[in-house]
Amino acid sequence: MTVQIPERLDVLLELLDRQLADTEGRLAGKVDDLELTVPDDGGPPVVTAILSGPQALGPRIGGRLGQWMVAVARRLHPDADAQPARIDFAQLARIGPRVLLTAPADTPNQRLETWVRTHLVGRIPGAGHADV
Amino acid sequence: MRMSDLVGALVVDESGRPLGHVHDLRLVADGVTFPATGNRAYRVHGLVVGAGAVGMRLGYARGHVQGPWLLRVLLRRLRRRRREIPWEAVREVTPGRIVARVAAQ
Repeated sequence: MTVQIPERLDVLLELLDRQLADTEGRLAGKVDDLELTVPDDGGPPVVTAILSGPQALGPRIGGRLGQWMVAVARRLHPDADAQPARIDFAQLARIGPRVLLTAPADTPNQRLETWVRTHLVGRIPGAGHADV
Repeated sequence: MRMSDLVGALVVDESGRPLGHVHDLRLVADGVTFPATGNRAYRVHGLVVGAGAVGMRLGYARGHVQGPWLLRVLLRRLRRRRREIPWEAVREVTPGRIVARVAAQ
């Protein structure tokens, strides 16, 4: 088993905003924020999850643009109190130009892609014969 | 807590003297080992703090950039404006403000 993450890392330079990809090579959003958990013993915060999606990016950007981003995401999402996609840090396989995960992801990006394929592309005449 | 709660916050010493804003978080992979990958969990090692500079965000303040003398001089100045506050020195985190115990420079 080869460790594939750098031992030391500056988050903004080397991790934030990078593309997430799952084991199938599918794109799974971007690293928009990180969840930090302070251990009970009061030691340094531990990175416990990658947060992805407009509900993570909006608050990070802040200002009117960030508020607008969150408002649009809330309007489009069936759950009015939707939270950002949370990817447990244990699923992170490698940090490089892309951040690779160890499992198929189920992020909003992929749900949107599935919805578009089923409801829009799939209804175009001839779509059923296309090579995927 | 989110990473974005820390980045951008103003860091002050215990007397209230501003030390700069948080530009980045330095992580070290020295936490628990994840069995599936063999990777270790990242812990926050320190806060990269300094006056605002585009070059810092672009990574030019990290010390291993080479180039013409003019660029090297500019980058040396940029590095002097940056410091790392170890997490052990952090005393209090409130929205937009972090209090740290630091030795006088």
